[in-house]
Amino acid sequence: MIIQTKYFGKQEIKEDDVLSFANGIPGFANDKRFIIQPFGEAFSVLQSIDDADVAFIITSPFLYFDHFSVDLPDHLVQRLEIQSQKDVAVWVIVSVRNPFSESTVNLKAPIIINVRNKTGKQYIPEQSDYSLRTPLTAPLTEKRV
Amino acid sequence: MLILTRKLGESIRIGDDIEVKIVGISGDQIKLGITAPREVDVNRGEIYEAIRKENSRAMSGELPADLLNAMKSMKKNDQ
Repeated sequence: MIIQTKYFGKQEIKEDDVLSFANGIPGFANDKRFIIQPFGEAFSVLQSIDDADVAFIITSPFLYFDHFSVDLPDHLVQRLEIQSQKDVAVWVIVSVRNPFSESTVNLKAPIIINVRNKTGKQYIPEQSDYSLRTPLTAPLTEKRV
Repeated sequence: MLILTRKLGESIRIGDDIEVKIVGISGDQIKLGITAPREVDVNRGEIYEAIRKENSRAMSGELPADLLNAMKSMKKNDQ
């Protein structure tokens, strides 16, 4: 199928790559089908199939934050029909700012994908030590020291 | 908005399969017990709202082409 995307214009995508978000994501309840497209090496785009303008820059939290961990509650595991750790991909939404050094990531509410059955959900934890606006550059600077 | 008065131990039902029960009252705090199907998300209002706002913020604004190009060229081992 051919879809309109925010960052790559018209794109041909495979039905098999479509991810189903049964409830959309908070603020975008009508967008229930997404696709993840690479955006260079360090980032990807979570693009809505239903609305070209709805596209989030995402990244792997493990790429930037060594100690990041997320504990998925049973209800989420059941909802996404996760059978093993291999099923799970974790992404976080990047709020890109200009200049880039002011960009933040939402470590508090990661996007959880079951790559086996192609379902996804933004996980809203009851409790979290992580911030909605974690600076993307802070850990990078620390590492260089 | 529908407003109902309930006492401790009483509940309300929303549709066929959602029940919200008053399980405790202490000062200005009310403890609710919520029974809902798995596919219904139950979140504290302020937490949901903060995440909704952050999602919108992450999407807002047109990013300049040079910034996007710079991001595309960032490598994993740049960190």
